[in-house]
Amino acid sequence: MELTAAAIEAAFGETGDFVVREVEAAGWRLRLYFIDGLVTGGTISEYVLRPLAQALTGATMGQLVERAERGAVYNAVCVRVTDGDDALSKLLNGFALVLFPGEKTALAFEAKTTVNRSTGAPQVENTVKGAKDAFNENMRINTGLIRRHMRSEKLRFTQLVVGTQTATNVSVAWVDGVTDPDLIEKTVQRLKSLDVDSLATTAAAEEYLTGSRKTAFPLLQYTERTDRFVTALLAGRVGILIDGLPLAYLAPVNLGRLMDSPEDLSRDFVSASALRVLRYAALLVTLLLPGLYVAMAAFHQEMLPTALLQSVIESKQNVPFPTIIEVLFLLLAFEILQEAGLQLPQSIGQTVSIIGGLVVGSAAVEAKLISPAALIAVSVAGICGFALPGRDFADAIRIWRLVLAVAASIAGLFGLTAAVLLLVARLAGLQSYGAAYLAPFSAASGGGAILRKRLVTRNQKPEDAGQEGKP
Amino acid sequence: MKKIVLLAIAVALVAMAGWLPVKPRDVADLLPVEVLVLSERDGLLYLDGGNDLAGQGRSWAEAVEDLTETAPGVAFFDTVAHIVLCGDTWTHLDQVLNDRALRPAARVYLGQGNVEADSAAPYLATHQGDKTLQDLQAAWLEERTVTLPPLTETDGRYRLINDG
Repeated sequence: MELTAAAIEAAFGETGDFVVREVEAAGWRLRLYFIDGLVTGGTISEYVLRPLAQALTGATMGQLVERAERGAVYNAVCVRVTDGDDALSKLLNGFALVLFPGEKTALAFEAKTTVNRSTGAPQVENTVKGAKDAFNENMRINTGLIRRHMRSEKLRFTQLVVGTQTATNVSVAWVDGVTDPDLIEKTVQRLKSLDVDSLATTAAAEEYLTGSRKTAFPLLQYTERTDRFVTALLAGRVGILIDGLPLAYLAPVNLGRLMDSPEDLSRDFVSASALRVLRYAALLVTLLLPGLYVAMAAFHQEMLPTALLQSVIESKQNVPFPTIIEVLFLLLAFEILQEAGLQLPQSIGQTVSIIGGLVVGSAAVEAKLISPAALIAVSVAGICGFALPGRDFADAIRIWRLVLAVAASIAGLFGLTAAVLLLVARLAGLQSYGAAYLAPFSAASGGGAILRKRLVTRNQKPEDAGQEGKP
Repeated sequence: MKKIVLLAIAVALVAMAGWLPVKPRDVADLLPVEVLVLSERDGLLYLDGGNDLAGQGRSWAEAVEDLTETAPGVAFFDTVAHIVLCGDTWTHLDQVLNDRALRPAARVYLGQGNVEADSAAPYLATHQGDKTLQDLQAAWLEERTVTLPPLTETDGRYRLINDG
């Protein structure tokens, strides 16, 4: 696109927030453009209009451009623009554009609005002792937060624009000398090769960045914590910041990383290791318990101790539905309750959970519609699911929990085992940016996958950069 | 997605055709048996499983079959923990040992007096004999002599003597 007044004005058409103004400077008429809402009126008045009108002098238009760029227009950021598309991009990113008629260059002065959501405490990844600053929707604020945690000149941000319609700013964060150059190249190339309209939602970002693999398991890790992001960068991973999203992505990711909690690094290694073991136990319980209950209650009663079997039989007395239907119904009901809680405002969501969980659950047991044993098995599995640190990972586990329960209802432990093997094979086949998903549990690097290492013995250099586990 | 749908259809067909190695049997239908008492009257074997489960026949297998058929649900023998052979029924021990429905860890006693499954169960839950079906099977194969621990009933009270 040409860098002319007509072309720029035609590009924005009749939109109401596009402001065009003629300014007189040293007897010359200049054109000033900005987008209302993205810039601050005061900044434009003080640091663009006033110097243009009062301080800028020159005999020719070329001199005006030269002097304005060199500081006559006293603005911290001044960018020379020679291309019409670049001019549009600057306007959309909070710059005021001054066009000098007859010249092939324009000057863009930064006048971004300071209206932003303040950085608050993390909403999901809470810790007792960890840092309390979380990312917000403004990418530049986020890069600033990262810099405050890592005051090193080796921290780099490679900035790109993705999305033909949304023109979303994306930054790839990495640490020079620590991050594998191949991993950086792979990430940047993947972003550059994206030919998409929009990168405005988290689902779009994750699908496009990972190549939209047919899996529920996350192939990118997200975090809202700046300290966690920096720790990951120092471990050799790349970070991806997307303007408009109050979180950052980390790549590559594997199962071990998804089971890490930010709290692990704010506790001593003994407590953190014990909690990790507990978390892995919760993973097994949430994944297997409903399926195991179905298999035991409908196929392999001989495996239950007699006293336990008696209790289960007594709990099933007068319940009209078979165990299989009971468990599948409860699993679905649990998912619906969880979904309802998410869709409603927080206060009403809690009420729905209480009514659904306690009142309806208790009433259903008392009315002999479901057995207490099945309710306990599904509830324990559900609660253990909440102990998993990553929501995306927990959601994938929820889906597989249902698959495993269905497999167990078809062929008992035989079906359950077959489905678990299928799951392990599926996970073993997944890769995130070239790194194997189950890499932490391979024979070569199995040590320290579950227990947290002591920080004095821990290698802070790249421990899971892109090449790890690569076939 | 196509593969998953095809796999699901294949599994459903196999399940409907009854080719799966296991068959569902809901826990709610089970009538678990904990104690089996075998006695003999007039040449007939009587099997008492407690909770109104009873069967009779000329052999152990016939008595078990009768108990199974007359039970108001599915008689579940995998939970049998104690087998009491009253009177001379120990002579049918070979048939008991050959019954694959019983767990090898089930304990075997020699019943004396009027032993009933329902009243013996609470006692045997806390006083266990020292001979299991597995021990007897081993002794049978090695042609060793084994003494079964006697479970004696007197006026509704039980007494078990293990000889070590």
